[in-house]
Amino acid sequence: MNNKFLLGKKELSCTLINLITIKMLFVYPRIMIINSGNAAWIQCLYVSVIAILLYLACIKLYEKIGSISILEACDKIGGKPLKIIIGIITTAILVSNIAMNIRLLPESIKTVLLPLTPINLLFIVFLAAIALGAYFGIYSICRIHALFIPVITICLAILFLFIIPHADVNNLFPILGLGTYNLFVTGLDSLSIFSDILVLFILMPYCKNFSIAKKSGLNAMITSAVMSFLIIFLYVLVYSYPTSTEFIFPSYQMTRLIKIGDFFQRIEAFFEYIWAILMLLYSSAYLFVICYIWKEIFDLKYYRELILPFAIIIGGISFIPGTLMELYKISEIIARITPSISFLIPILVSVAYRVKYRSKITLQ
Amino acid sequence: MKKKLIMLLLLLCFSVPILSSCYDYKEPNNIAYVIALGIDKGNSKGIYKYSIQYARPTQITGGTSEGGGKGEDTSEILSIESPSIYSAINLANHIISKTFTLSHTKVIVLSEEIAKEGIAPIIDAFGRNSDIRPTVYFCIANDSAEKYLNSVKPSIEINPAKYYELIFENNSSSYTPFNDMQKIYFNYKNGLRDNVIPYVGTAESKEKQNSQSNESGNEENSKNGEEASTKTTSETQNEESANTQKNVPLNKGGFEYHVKNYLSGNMDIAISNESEEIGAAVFKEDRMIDTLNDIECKIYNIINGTYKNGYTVIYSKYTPSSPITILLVQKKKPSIIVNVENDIPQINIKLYLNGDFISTAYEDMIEDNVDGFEAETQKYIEDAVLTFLYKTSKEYDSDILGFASYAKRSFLTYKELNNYNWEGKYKDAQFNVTVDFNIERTGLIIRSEKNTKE
Repeated sequence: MNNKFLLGKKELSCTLINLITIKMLFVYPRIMIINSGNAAWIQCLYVSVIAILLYLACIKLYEKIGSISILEACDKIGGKPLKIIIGIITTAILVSNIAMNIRLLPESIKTVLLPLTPINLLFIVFLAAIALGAYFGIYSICRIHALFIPVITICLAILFLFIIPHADVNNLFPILGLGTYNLFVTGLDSLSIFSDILVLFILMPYCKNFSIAKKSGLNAMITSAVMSFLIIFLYVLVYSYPTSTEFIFPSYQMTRLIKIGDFFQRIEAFFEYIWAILMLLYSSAYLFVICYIWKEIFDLKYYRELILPFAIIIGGISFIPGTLMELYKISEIIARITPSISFLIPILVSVAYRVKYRSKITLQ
Repeated sequence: MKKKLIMLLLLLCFSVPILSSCYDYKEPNNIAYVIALGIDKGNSKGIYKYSIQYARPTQITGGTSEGGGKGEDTSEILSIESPSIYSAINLANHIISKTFTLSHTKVIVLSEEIAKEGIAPIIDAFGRNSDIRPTVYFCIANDSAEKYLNSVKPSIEINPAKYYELIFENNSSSYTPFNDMQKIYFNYKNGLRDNVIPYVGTAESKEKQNSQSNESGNEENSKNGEEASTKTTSETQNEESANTQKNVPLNKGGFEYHVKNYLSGNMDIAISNESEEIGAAVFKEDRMIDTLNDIECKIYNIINGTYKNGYTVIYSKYTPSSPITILLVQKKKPSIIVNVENDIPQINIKLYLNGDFISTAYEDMIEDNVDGFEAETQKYIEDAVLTFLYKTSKEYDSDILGFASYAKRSFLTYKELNNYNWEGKYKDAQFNVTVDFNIERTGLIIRSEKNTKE
């Protein structure tokens, strides 16, 4: 691959941060609070530490494989059948992740901004935009991520600063919320926040070298953990339990509180703009990765021809839940299944690779 | 280059119809902005009477003298009976040529009758819809919400929306609590705090309120500070005659000495604007159970930490004939510690207040005895606060100051908190109040001298 089109640390880190953190701007704070009550921030910390440790274990094991994608590694371990099986499982995880999230943006726009516009129209416009994003390729997507993510992070930080006056320390108590079992056992479901790290192992060939990929992944994990923690911590501080379980879009609900003097109100419109940009970037990256997987597992020459069919398939799947309530239920189920598989695949592949190539010869 | 330019122009041309919006377009000229919403009971069960006060932008020109109409001309009220607010809006859209929007609504007024029956059926609609701001003010009208909205005729403010903003969110107006719709919704849903909602009224309904305020005033008078009650017989007789004349009881405690126990509807102040916004409605769960007068509201705000500043009249034994006026400022939020080790909760409150002399007595140099004045002021505030706190626990059995949220700190999980049964124990709570009060400044006069002839 031409060096000109390889991803650097910043591009890859920003992309992964967006893939991981975007969920915190939609449904995840609520899911975590339903599980642990006002102790959701502890759950977030706990899950983040476990996820970072899991990532370090995965990447350590993956060192032997080097900077080839997980699919290529499967090909080398078990031939094409294994590559196809792993490719299909990975696609299933990614499609289930994106299908639920992709539905949320048009739904949120309809709920808060354009109540009379048909959801189908919003959805078609949104799908067209992400298809166009995926068409431009991963390099463009990651460059735009590198451009926008720092700016958006600063904007979000400023927005959330204005929410601090609404915070009440008493909302943190009882400190263990709904109890230790919910916090430390059922709370493990929230590992799915970090399940998107699987994308790093697919995009490995696009990285300049393995060291950059490793550092980018760690950067993304730590930054996302900090951002997720800050969002959930602020939400817990502002909204006391059980009211905090009521809101459909927790982060948006927080921004509705911002009022700076008499003139600066309705700042949430700015937040909606941030939502839209992040979601478009997220969906474009995901669509590209899904198309890339299929290109790899079936040894196709180009991925672009797959964009439209996959966009339609993902769009169709995202409309399977008839209502927003059903969508939320399905999201919760998916959140329980995906994390284990996402972390398990790189670990299993790496172990299998080590077993097969005991002679310490890396393919690089 | 030329090709790129053509492409750019084409892109701009195509974006014009997209950016102009389609289904959700809203022309400001086609919208009627609801400023306030009054809710009264309707003629049938489950039916409410919604009074929609909407702006007449053509009458609002931004100034008070040039061009624009009077405060009363800038808005109009439309009353509709309907089972819900949104069906009322639907009906109103058929009466007025423009479409109503609640996005700029400033205040929601509920009648006392509805408040006493319970606000739960109404409050959900306001929490669910993204159109209504979470920061909209909520208040209870002593008589009818429609009557209150009709009585709002601001004399020095053209824009009624601005009037509500200034009335309900004024740092110096400590005689009403600050509570927006979102806080009320949360308090009701969380069950950790009972609501206190601003109480509004019209001057017309004075007579009705007088009898109520007399009762509550007399009761408070008997409980308040010991020092202040040691007055001459002539002083007491003067007070009584004044009470009979004005029919509004005077506060006899040392804190806010001789300030009248005002409540919306019973104010004896002459002004063309008949609307009054003073006092608060006390709730237990979703039902209104009583009212707080101006002084009780001030105490509520001080304990709650929402008090900013305000002129306060303090009785002093050093200057018995002329009370001292200070600018009372809340230095920092109160420190509240709730001890739940025993079955009877112990609530320890420490208040941090500062004062500046605004006017002192002519017969004595209070500056010479600042320490003595500070000590007696502390005592008056402590007495007033304790009286108020025991009223909330013994009389109301309503945790309007949210001590439950402080009690939560002593528990590890919600299960433990629920097992403790705070609601059942608040009635027996023991309060311990300490006041850290200091006089900081004396105004422009550092030491007032006596008249040389004296």
